[in-house]
Amino acid sequence: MDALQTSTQVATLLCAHTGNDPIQPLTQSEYVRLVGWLKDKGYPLEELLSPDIYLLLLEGEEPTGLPAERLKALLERGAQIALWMEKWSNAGMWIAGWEDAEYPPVLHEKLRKQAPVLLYGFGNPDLLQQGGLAIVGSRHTSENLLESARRIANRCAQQSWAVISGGAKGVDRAAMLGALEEGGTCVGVLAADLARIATSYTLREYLLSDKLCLVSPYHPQSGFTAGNAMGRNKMVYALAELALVIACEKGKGGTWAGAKENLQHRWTPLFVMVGEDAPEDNLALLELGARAFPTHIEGLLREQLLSLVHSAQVGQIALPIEV
Amino acid sequence: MLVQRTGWGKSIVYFIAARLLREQNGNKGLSLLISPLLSLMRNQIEMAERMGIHAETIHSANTERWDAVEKQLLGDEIDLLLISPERLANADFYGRVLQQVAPRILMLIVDEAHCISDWGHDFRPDYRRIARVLRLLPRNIPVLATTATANNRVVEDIRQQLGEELHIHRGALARRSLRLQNILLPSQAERLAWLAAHLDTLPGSGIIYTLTVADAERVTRWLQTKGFDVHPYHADLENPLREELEQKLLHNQVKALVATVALGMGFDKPDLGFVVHFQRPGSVVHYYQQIGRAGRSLDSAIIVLLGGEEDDEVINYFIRTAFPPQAHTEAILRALRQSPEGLSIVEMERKVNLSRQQIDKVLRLLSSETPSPIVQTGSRFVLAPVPYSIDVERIQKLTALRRAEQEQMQQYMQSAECLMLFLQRALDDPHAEPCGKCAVCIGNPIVSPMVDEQTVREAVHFLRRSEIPLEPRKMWPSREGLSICRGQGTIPESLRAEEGRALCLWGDAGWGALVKRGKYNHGFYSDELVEGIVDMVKRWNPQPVPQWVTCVPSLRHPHLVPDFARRLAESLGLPFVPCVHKVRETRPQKEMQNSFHQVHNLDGAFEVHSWEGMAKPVFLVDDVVDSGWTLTVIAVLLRQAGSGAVFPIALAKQVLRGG
Ligand SMILES: [Zn+2]
Repeated sequence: MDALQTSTQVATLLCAHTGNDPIQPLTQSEYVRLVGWLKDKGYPLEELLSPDIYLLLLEGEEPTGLPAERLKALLERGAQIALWMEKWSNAGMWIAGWEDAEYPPVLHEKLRKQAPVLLYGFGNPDLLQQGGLAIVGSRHTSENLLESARRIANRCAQQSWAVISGGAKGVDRAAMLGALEEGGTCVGVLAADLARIATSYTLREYLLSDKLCLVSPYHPQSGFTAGNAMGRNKMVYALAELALVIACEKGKGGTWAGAKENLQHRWTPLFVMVGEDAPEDNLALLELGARAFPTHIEGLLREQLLSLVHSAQVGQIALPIEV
Repeated sequence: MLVQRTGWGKSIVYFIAARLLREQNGNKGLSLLISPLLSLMRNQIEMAERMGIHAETIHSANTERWDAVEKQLLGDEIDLLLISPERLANADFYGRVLQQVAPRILMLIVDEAHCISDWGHDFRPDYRRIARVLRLLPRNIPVLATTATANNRVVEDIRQQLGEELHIHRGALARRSLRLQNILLPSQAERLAWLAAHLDTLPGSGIIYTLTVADAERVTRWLQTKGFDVHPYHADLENPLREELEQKLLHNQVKALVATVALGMGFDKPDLGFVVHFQRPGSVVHYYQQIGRAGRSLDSAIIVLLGGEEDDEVINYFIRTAFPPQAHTEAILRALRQSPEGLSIVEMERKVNLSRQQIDKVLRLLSSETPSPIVQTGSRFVLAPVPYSIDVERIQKLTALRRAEQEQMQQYMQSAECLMLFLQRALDDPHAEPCGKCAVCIGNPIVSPMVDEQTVREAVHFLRRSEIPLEPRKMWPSREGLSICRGQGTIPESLRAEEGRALCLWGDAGWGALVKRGKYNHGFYSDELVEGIVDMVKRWNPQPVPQWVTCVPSLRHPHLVPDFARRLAESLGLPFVPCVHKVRETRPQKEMQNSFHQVHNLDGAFEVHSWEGMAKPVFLVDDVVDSGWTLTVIAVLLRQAGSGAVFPIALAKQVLRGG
């Protein structure tokens, strides 16, 4: 991997977690605050790598609420970051910051200040910018529903439509493999364990053949937390053109919370499985604004679903007149 | 990057820089110095202390200091931490120590920076990793690279790897005090005789370089028998001993150390009086670096290059084995592709028929690739998701370069122009000029090239009495049981072979050539060799004294060894009882590349038929020993069948190792 561009390098120094961080790296909102302040003052971010930066940091203490000592210490950890990054970057990992070409603009557009500061990834980063159908659902789901997820992913693959998956067990994995095994492309947005999953036996060939991109806003060896899962969900929805919930539990778990958050922020139109195999809890999403996934659908999935979304929007506007 | 000859004072530059940076930073933080050899570090730490700089080192040989150093590191009391590239790459060290202090690294110093380049004379894969780390460093961390030996090609390569921002400071390389002379003496015996005749005339204390460990040991023993105070120095010696030997040389308490490249970079003795090469090194860069240790603070130091008939054979071997054969690399990658869970090194040994060393070589080559097709997690290696094909071209290019370097040294050996000028030109020194004091410039030898015949005869005699101990194997190679004594774990002492003897090294200038001829040309080992072994047994005098002789059987050459063993038994006045039988054909042991496969190849291949006199101690005879497993396995079978102590005897032992 070649040298990072300077803004990404600064973001890495300030925000990257390495699993051993005596100084707490900046949170998303702290970083946003710092960048905003620098912008107001007319200082480019790169300025933070200059030798005499301490006075500037002191000046910013009050408006940003970030102690100059902490920022200085973070900016000085370049050797640590380089040593840590080298191992995985030499195994094929890339890092993309806000200003890198690999960073999908759609994340800025949809997530705005919540767009992850850094993306860690393996495989073809172009796939991040090709839209696709997000297929989500809980880890523990009936065989029938897993089969549905796989079938729908197969169909996406046949029609050259990408699948976006959360990369977890259950529905996520069924959808991912459903797309890949059919020769399609897939983006796996991971909440944890990027490095382990990217070097796994099953996925290696797909990464090598540019059919798969594994990406995470969390460092390559981070463990699973509920917070990480929610951050991951945001990205899944933001990257997708459309999303489909295979199964969820009402009021419980990541799938429900993620779907609800997506509906609130209108990141992407949401469909949900209904019908005899689907859990009854799925229906609760309909009340929040999701659409029922048609049980029978002919022709091109993407176009059919998009037209449903459009007609529904038209319908909503037309509704009062008809009544 | 600072390119200055050894002794110029490069270390003072980074000591001062480290101190200044720390002062600027409110006496917090440290500089990290990456340097390849421990001998270098000892000298440097002492020098730093004299300058009032607190330097410490953590390496594999000072584990007892780790806790103390770690405490000081965490307490931010250290200006400069010296570590080896291997330490830097070590996952445990990185996780436990380096990550703790890495947030406070103010500057990175890379010593012997020529190692970064493929083209450097001792490229080290770990340096590739360093180059990658340097590329990832933000510009608020300064980097200082230093080297004494880098020609234009190496400098350009380093610039390419580290980026255009690299500033290069380059000084002249020539050292005025060196008086160079080359002497061609084909046979080892002649060179031994030359050393014995002229070592006394060389000024002060110095270094005699050999290409292999075995040669360092031999030359030492020869000179010791001639009354010289010399010691061997190589990578097989324990660190405390090496340290002690360096101290002795530093304080002129020995005439010379007979050393391999292990006595290397940065060993700093300003008044080193001479450097003699017993064999011709593989490249000018190598050679210049080694002779550059002499005469730093002297007006005159003597440098003699002895060339011999075996030089090219040894160098060719090093060149041939520098890179793992493509088939080895492919075998490892194939094994990894077939292993969803990845493989540890021990598991690789079982899956592929390669020695631990061969496996290590492949892993080092693969890890040095950018990007690398393998990645280590814990003790296991897995395939990384990066496209990879073996860079045959790179290996061919480097091999061709090594050949060219070898040829350049051959030309140097014969040079009719000023020797110093030749070396400087080869090193792209812009300040090259005739020295006026080498043997070519003055038109006369500096040291006489003459040897007297009597001493040469003594040297031949010495070589013929240079038997090699055969250490008994103590452990079975695998956990998996063998049929032999449920072979796993430790071999019980009651079943182990005793220490044995080999008459010579395969192909050496004593008996070696005769053994080689016997095996391959004549199919018969001469009576001269029988006499050689009888003499050897007299010198050796094994206890309890063996009362009978047996031998290793072979289905492929059913008569060669038994015939020799019978004649040997006769000369020793002992009964010859060929009671070991081969019941199954095996593949040649030399095709078995690691202990696991070697022992499994032999498992169940032999049977011992007991006889009434067998409870007495016995000589077990074989011709050429390689891994020693055949002797080990047969010794166990003999002991199980009720024999007394088993003393292995071999005609030759196969070794060829630098370091
Ligand atoms: Zn000269």
